[in-house]
Amino acid sequence: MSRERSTLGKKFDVWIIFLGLLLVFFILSPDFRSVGTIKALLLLIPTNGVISVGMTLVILIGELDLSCGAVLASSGLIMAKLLPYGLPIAILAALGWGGLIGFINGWSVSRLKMNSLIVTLATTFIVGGLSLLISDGPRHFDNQFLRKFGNEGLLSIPYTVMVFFFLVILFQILLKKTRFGLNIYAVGGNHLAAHYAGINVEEIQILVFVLSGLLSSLGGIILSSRLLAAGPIYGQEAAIVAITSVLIGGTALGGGRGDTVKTFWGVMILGILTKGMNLLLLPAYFQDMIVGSILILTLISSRITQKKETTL
Amino acid sequence: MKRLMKEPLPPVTSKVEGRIDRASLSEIIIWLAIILLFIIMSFISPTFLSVRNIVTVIKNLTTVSILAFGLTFVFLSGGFDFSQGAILLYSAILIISFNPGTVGGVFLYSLFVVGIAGLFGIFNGALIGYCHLNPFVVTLGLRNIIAGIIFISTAGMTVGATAQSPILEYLGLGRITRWLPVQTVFLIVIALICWFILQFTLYGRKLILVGNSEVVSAYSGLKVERLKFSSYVINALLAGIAGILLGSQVSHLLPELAWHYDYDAITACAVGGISLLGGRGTLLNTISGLLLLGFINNSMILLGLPFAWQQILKGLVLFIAVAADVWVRRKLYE
Repeated sequence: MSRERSTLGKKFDVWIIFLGLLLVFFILSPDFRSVGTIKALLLLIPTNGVISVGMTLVILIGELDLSCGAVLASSGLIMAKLLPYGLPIAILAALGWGGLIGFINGWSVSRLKMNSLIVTLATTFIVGGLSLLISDGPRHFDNQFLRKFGNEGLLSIPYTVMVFFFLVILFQILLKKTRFGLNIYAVGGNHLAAHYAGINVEEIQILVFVLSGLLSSLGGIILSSRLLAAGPIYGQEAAIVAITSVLIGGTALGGGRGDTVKTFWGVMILGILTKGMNLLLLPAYFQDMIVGSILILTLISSRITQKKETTL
Repeated sequence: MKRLMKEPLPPVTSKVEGRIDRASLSEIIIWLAIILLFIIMSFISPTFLSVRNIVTVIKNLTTVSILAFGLTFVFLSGGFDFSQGAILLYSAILIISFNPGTVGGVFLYSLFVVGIAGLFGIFNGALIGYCHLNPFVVTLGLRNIIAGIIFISTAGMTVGATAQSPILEYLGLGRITRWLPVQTVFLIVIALICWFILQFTLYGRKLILVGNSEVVSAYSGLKVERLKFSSYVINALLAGIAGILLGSQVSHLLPELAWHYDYDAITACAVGGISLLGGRGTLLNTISGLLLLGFINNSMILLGLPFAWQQILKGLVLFIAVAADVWVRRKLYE
């Protein structure tokens, strides 16, 4: 019962922060009130958003994935390289590559019992090196469909944002209503208990890492179709940004607590902060500091609410 | 944290198991790999075994090594630190951007810089040790905050001294004898002190016990909170010293280009066999990891392979070393 209350309370908190930020920027900056700004803001969100959805699943089972950035850059490159052979092949190859890296991560974590932080650090080095090898600097391309997909939208909601919203809702349903989702919570809550309850822990771990890899490469496809370019060092900090947005949303490191809707609010807060600070003409350098402070403050506040509940 | 980084094996409890573990195969494997690398490379490249080359490799390892030594303290106590790369950079920038002139001035200013680094360590240690917050999140947050401070204080541009003080230049580039750089002396002294603390003092033993099990050490009467706090402070102080040594090596520094040191330090610790779950490893493990990675990098350069291959091989070495370590420990346990 108390746990039910705590999740509700936390969701409410994150909401408040988002609305508060929106209000502050709305009052302070006249530019913020135009539809064009909102649309530009929305266009920046889905890359991080899609990766964060995958990262949520990984954090829910109590692991971490640092390889998102490398997978993002390399799948963008693969898509750009294979574009002459047709768009479907290019996109499938990029997604397949992401899935493969995810599978390697998941297999090493589940079968070899390696620490996920170390495994994904190793794959970051390897994949980063490979994408440096296959590229000769940033690569530009043009494709009618990708241009439309990355930059336009229906009723001033960009297509990429629709994809992000769809994924958030899909994974929320998956987590809350299906057996797979409940198994994820069980594995994250207690590894051993889940094993004794007859859940195939290894399979869940592999699946979650594959999903994270797939979503990272989808993030790369979205980024590349917005920029119409791909390069080996795009999105190097993507993993850290994704982890930050998941944590700001209120999903707990260590697993078992959180969901994708929380992550959605985390992503929105981070997005609105970056864009809003630019509009207020504050130097971009303050963003890092504010993000870091928010991270520590949310952790402290969640600790305080937890303590209150246990004393109650 | 315990749940974040899951222990693949049940905790080692019996004394016999401990003894096998200490003389473990995986530790020997790393040293064998270093020897093998030396043998192979001495046939391929005539310059590899020259004194000059080896001195250069060890001198270039100085910054990463001191970071890795600090990280060893934190890992042994069961913690994690993501902010040390940022602390390193900030102190390097501080030492570059101001020239105190006299010997005493340089000494006092260096103390000031290390003190600033220590303040960051106190911040980490207080939140993680005394407030029991998650180390990963706290240090990630501090990393972002320091990155912001660095950006603001440098405006994103190259930092450089108009005139670098000759004392700092001697500290960075000077040599005591022909084959002994000043930096290497610092490195060896710091390594010896850290090794002595971890191996022979009560404090080191206590830290390892805390890393093994916080509950047991709390029931044994150890001040767990203070010990964890101290490990983060030591780490930050060492990062500050590493920053001074890095800053004295170069007269200009673009902060954007120096963010890889913390990843390299984590890699070296993990390759050497320090458990990220805490409680297992000695400073010799860290040193073996550092030497292996340093000499592999060096041989790639001697062979003329591009940077991309260095990255790939670094990843592969990390992967294989940790996988082999886990596999060997598992076999021993069974």
